Amino acid sequence: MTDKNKKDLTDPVDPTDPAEASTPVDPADPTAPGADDDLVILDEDTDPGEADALADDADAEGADAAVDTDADDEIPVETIDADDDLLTDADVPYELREDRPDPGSEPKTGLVSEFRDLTGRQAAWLVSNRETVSVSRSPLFYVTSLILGLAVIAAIIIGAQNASPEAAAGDSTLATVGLGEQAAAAEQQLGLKIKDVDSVEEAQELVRTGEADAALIVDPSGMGQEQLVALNSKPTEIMNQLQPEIEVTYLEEPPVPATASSVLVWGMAMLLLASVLTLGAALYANARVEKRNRLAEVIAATIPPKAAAWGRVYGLTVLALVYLVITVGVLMLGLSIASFNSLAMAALPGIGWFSAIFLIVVLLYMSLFLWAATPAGRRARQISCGLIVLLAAAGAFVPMVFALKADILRIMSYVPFTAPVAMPMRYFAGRAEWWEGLLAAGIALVVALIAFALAAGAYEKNLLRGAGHGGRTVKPRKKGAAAEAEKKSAAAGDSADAEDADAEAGKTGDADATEETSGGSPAAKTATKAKPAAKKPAVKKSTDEKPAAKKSGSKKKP
Amino acid sequence: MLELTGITLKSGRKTWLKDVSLTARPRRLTGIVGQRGSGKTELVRVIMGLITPDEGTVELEGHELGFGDRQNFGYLPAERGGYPGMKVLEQIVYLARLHGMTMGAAERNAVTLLSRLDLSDRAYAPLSHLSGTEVARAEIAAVLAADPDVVVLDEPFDGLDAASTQKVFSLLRDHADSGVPVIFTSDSYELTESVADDVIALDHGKVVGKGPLATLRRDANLYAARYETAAAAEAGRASLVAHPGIDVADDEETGAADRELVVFSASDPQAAFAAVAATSGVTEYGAHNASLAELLKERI
Repeated sequence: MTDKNKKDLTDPVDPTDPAEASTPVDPADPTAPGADDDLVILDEDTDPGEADALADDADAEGADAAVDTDADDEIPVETIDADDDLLTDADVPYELREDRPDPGSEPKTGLVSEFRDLTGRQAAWLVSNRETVSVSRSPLFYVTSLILGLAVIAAIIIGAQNASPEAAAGDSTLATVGLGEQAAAAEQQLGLKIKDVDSVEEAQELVRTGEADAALIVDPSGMGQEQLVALNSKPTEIMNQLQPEIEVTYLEEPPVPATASSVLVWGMAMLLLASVLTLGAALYANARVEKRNRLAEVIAATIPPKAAAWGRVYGLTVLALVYLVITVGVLMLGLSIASFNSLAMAALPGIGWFSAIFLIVVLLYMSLFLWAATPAGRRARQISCGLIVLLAAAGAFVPMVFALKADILRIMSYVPFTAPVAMPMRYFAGRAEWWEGLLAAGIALVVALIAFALAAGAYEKNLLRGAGHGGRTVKPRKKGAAAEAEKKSAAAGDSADAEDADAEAGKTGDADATEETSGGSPAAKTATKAKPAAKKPAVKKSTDEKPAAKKSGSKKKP
Repeated sequence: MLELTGITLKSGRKTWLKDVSLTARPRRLTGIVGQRGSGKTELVRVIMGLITPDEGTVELEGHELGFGDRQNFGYLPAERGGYPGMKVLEQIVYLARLHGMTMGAAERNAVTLLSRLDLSDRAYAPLSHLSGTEVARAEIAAVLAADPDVVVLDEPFDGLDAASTQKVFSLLRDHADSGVPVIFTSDSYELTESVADDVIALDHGKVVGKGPLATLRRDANLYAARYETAAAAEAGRASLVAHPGIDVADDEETGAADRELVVFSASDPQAAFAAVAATSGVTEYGAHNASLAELLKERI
């Protein structure tokens, strides 16, 4: 007979008898029937001697009961017989079952076990869902979304007021044809640089190559009208010097007027920067919280670390999609309301490629932020984050500096960090083929996946770093606050988190407080044997160890 | 049954664990006890597969554990805090679902556990709004909500008040009774003694004692004799000290303030009885009911 057959019945009232069952019995009352009884359930094959022994054991262990349950005594003993005509658990809905569990069929925990196979993808989805929900509830997300929407509306209003194309201000150069010696005088008179050439074709070539902002074509016979030729935008500064105003002829008519293009490009740069910074900061903060509170260990022991890393990066990229939908939606709606349908249609290819490249590049930046969040050292994390922010700012605004340099802009449109802004600029100017956007998106995707693979590897490798002795040895400096941090860390236990030392040291700017010895740490051996959950070997719990009924009606994961 | 055999973990010149073996049986609460820095957390991390040991194996039901096997292990790290901005119920459900549990079952278990831990009214509060002891209880609930096959808890009673400790212990006991090995660590010998069925005592990464408390007591061969007066006890002590095969513990060792009690170890109980009987003024004699700290004091 095993222990589970021994049952301490503090209330021997027959549960099948409604009259008795309704009578409450105080277990603390020694006079209550059965309050002190330590009874033994007898199986059919239990011999009396064994029953005695069990009862004696119970007494010896100091159980409440002191009643000898000698089989010869005439003590009524409740036995649970499989043949009894009682309702089984299967016949009664769970909620209506009696409170008193039947050992062997109902766990005392009251917990249910309903499992299903969790693939790496599903695990990643759970993580991404948590990230998405937690970040989308933050005030920062709402404020950023609101600002982006308002910025787009403001841009539409400003753009509508000045929709004609014009060139950027600066030292303008005017190409002229056949002025000869008068060129110097004209230069003085107009206050412009003059490049005098022999033919109209040469003057146009100077405009095309960007050496001249416009070309002034004068009819040699003096009968025809003068012509001002520009590449694709109005040469405002030159026009101001030429009186009366001369009509401009464009060599390359841009699909999107330069003013509108400029506003759109600024909007794209701001959207990219806002998304990368807000979502990147959220990812970084969440990753640090998981590390500090050791949730990373729980997750790593439960699901493959790569799935956790992907879920995190993917979840925040989905939120970037929300930003994108808000801004592009407001933009298109605004352009339609302001009767700029043709502009909206002209800008569509550029906006479309921006959207695609933007999402991929956000994925890239999120991977980089994940990477930056993994080192144990505070200084390493600070430097990494600083570099990423710098990269994001440069990637968003540098293409605008080189707006007029077609060759440089072309190269930038293939570089993932500048592509989200540079490629649409080229589409707006009508200088990009349809496949170039696809190529830029492809390059960005490859780079993003490589960055993610590296970040996921670092995440997995550094899982325990900075999380105590087993992860990494922490050697704070023996001075000032860092030394105090060390004492606190030592007092905090055998796995004091290096984060504490980090925090203490950080307050006094002593970021070196967490410099640690290199190599040989058990964390270097942190298990990297994560395999897809579906491939895991089966582990079966014997029904003796865990009641089978606990899993009834459920699919327990092996 | 979870079995660790010959676990050795080194880091450079430092040895965190040295030839540690333990068995965690179903229906039993196995307490790993030791002072801070004794290697408890490292041992727990080895069990959870977070650190690969230099030597030794971790086996469940006779086969070596892989990553997938641990998917339904319930693990509580020593650090508390969880996701501060997440609601308690959501957090428990989320962590249970990572184990593959269905949404409905996870929610139901979360509600059950929160109720048992007196946290029902805090279910929809963010974790950051909870007190320290509430957070500790919520995290215990998060570990058990997936109805794990093996429960591994690093310092589960840290941050708990006496009432909460009792609730958590009751929960762990019920979980163990459902056929699950429950392993926990603690640096409190008193608490481990009162909670654990089996004890593994660690000191500087080595096992200095293991087994049920009764076995540890039996192996210690400790006996006690009570005398009528302190003077008689002193005389008895002097007599026993001179007796070969009897090692009398001084008061500092046993921590006893009882001047009429003499505690000693003897490999031969019969000879010890004879030696005590030869002294005068003895009122009681028997096996000494030593505390866990007392039993392990000489070994640490």
